[in-house]
Amino acid sequence: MTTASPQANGWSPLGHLGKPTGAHSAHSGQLHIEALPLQVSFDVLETMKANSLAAYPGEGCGFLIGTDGPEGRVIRQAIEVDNAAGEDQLRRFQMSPLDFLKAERAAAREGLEVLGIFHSHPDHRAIPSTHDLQGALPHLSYVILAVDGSGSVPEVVEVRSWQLDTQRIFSEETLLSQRNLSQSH
Amino acid sequence: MNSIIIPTPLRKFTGGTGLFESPADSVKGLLDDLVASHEGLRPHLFDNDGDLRSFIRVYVGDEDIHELDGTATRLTPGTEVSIIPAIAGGIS
Repeated sequence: MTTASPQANGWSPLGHLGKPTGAHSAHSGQLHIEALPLQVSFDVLETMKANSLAAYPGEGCGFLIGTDGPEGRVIRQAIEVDNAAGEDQLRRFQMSPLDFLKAERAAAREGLEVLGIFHSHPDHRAIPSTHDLQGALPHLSYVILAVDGSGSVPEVVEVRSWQLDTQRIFSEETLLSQRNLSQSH
Repeated sequence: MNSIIIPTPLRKFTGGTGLFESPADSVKGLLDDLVASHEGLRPHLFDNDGDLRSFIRVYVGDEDIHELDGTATRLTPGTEVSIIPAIAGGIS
């Protein structure tokens, strides 16, 4: 990683919740190091987790808006949206075109950009599926939350972020979370 | 002249511009002109068969082209067309 000692400046790596992850390609199997991390505030992380747990056993989803600069992407806000997949939402998610327009307009009002989306994988790993690939756009960060429902209560066990490159291959990007993001930027 | 609005994530392929203009008088003509000018967009808008990807929606004004004549929809001068992704996925 090009991010030198993220813990030293308050950032915590996510992944298998507590364990730093190595970045790699989801489909080629090749090691692919991303230059810049995706940084999310603690609040954004909690919003994504709560959305994923509330949607279980279905898939939750939403947009991520923030700033994209030389230090990487900083996500300021998670906008939860309804899963438009209807009866298929136990294994699929669909974000309506109207919700995309609303998210773009909300971001523009704040001087921000739509930089990514999040969605959950109930009882599956936080790795992009074939269906994720088919309905994906490049240059967006795809945060996936794995929810394990095998215990007495569902639990988010893995959070990872991916980006589609121009060859339509997903590569993992380092995901960092910071409790006091809003005060440090 | 007709115009087409590009969603933010795809503006990386248009040099940052969100608006493309062309004299084409159909949705297909407008999309063809767009990808001819910005070739990097092609694989993200069209599949290997040359069909519009299913999650890429195209609106003429406020109407989805699926409710009109699809990509054959004719455009009157000054029409604004929008590309809007309907991002989808899932575990299986």
